[in-house]
Amino acid sequence: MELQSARYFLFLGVIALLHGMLGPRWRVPVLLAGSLCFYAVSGVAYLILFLVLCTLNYGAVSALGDAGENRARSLVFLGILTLDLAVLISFKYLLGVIDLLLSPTAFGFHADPVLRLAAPLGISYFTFQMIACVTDTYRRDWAPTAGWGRFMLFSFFFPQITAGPIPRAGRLIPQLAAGSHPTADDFAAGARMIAYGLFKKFVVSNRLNDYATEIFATPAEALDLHYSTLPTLLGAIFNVLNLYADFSSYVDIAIGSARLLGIRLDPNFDRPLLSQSITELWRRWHMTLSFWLRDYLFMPLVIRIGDPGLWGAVCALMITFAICGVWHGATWPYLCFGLVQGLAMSLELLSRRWRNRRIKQMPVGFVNVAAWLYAMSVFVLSEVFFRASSLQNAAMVFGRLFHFRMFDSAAELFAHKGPFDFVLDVGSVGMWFAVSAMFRRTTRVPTPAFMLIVGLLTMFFGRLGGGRFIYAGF
Amino acid sequence: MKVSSWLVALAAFVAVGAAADFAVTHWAIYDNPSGDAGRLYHLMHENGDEIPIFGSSKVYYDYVPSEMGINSYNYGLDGSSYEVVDALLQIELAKHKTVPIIVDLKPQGEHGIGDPSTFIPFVFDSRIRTMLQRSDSMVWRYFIPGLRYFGYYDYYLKEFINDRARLMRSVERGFSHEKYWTFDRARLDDAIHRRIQGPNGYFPDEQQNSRLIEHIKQHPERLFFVVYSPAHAANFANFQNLEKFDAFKARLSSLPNAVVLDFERRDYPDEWFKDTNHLLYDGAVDFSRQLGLAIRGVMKARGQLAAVNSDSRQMFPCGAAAAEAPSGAACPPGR
Repeated sequence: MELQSARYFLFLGVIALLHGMLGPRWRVPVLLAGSLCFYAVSGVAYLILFLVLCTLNYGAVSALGDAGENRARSLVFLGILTLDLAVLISFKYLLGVIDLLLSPTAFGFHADPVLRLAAPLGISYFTFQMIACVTDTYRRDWAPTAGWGRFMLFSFFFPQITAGPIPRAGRLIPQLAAGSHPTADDFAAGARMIAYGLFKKFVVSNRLNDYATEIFATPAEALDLHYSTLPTLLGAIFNVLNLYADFSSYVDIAIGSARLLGIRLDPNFDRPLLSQSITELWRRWHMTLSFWLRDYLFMPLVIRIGDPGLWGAVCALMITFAICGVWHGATWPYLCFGLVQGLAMSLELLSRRWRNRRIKQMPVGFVNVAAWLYAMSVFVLSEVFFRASSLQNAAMVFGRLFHFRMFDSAAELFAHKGPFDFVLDVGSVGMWFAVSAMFRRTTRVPTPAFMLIVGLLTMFFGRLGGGRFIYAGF
Repeated sequence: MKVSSWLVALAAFVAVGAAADFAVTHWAIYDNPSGDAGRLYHLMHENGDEIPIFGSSKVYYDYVPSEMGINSYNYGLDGSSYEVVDALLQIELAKHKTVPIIVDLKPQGEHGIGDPSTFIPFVFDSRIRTMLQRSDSMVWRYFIPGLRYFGYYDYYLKEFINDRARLMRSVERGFSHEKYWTFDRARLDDAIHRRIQGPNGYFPDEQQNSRLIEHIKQHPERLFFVVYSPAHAANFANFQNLEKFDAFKARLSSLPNAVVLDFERRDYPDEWFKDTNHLLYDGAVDFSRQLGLAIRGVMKARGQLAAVNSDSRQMFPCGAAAAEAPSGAACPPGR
């Protein structure tokens, strides 16, 4: 069930109504039943698998919380961690390998469609959530207090299971335990976020996706139209804006849906495209994943490497971001994407002292603009790997970018879609700025007025056909 | 939180949506004869002597009514298949008309309907609704004014501006003359390369064929011209099921009120092709003239040309073939 679909909002409406009408005793059962139904739509077999996995994690968390410091506790921790990771790796990578081996190009026969299994919905986010919960309990950062039902709801909570934000048990479970009751403010804030999310998905993301798709298309996918530097650069910038609009729209709908039920999920973005370094960007982009990587991968790696200095951190950064890249998919472009992030952050770390000395001698405004340009350039270029279907595809885009021929015709600049669509594509970014400013000014633009304006903009300028949310595929 | 402010916002949303729906429907769609939906509106309300031409983008880009020397109207829809043609045929055949019908067929039985925006204003028509349902393209919001055009407002507006300003194309009697289409050797070579690699041949959907034959049989008062318009030679590389294709054409020809005109293998120069399926303007003009001559020849032989001519001045040949016309009358103006 896609979060931008009418079916989802009908479902959300029914759940919110039942949740609001029934007493506190029934709130967790209603949300749990709704979450299980939401998950079952994607496949009952996977629901059973996840129920078993969730129960095992609950057992492990309970055991870890109760046990004293002994060898058995460590074994339970390692055992459940291995199981969670094994399930993730099996579905995310091994099935891909089997699929590849059975593909027509491998051995000359066609794979049975039955064997072409899709990864379960939200497998990554579910696993990250479980690992965080188990690790926090093992580290005694969080003491399990919830029963099986609330733990189950924490694991399956429908707004966030598809693509996050990745909740921490210590923050979500207490809200569930308190029998969340939405206030009028919750309703207004939730509705505002959902409207903003839908605007970003339909007006911004879907439009920019069309342009970027055209620029990134390989000759095998479309007619080879030989784009020059300017349209390719525009396509690369639109690619980043498309990705941000798409993912943040999903997150806004997820957070807004939870807010309608009186539950506050952690934010996932903090205006990342204003960042002045890649390090800062990753503190503001996909925050729940960044913080997860920091707490459960980077920090343990630094400790393991045993070098608390700069080079230990650099090694840990490179490994963390290589894994982060491959998490998106077992492809070379994703690995390159991760490595570029790790490399940029490592260079920023290593040059910090030198930069600080230099910066003091320069005007603040110039430093801010230069730093922003640097961060955005690196991010836009690295995202070429993120979107590219192969290294050859990425090389094709980079080749066009650094060909240094501005553009041959207006048609090329418009990605062969005509001036009208191009003006609307660029205009959608302008609208996004305006709506974003309105979104934050809750007192000057009350929620009903905001909903009216954004609703009309979405209806008149929205575009269909953008497909599912990009991050729902991870 | 005041409930009244929410109600005011909701009322304003509904009012603006309804007003926008009305404006788009009546001005950007009904009053736009060059848009796809506008052409469909024309079909639904035309009850004169226009000979309709049905088909996919091959019709849209290849058939130039003003060059055919007959009073015809191009209803070709980009991306559509026989599923759409069938619905349009039902609309046409429900009229009390006796003029011929031209149907452009592809050798492949496809099922696409093209852009759903063409059909949204007409979902209350059961024939259109059935076609959308059959192709799983029917959406509940198509029945809700304001909301039904969600995702397509800009498209209708773009078509409307294009029609008024003639920016990208000029449309005449349903035919789209794309202003910026020029011959591109590299693109054509690319298309030829893909075409040669792909499966080529006669791959029919027998059910679609049966439906067409049924229409022809049920309407003996209408003469059906089943046309295969020109395609690049690359389409015939490794052409499969040629015998079945010939058999189907023979089956159609055996019907008393059906005439098959096969122009598919016409040897046109590469410079007349946009890609392996669609002609550029020069090719389209030549093909239309040839087709017009062929149609008029058939009608003359059947004694129908004079009969229809005596019924309606609209049927006089016009445009390029005006010299052959009994009266030399010009085509009626129109788009």
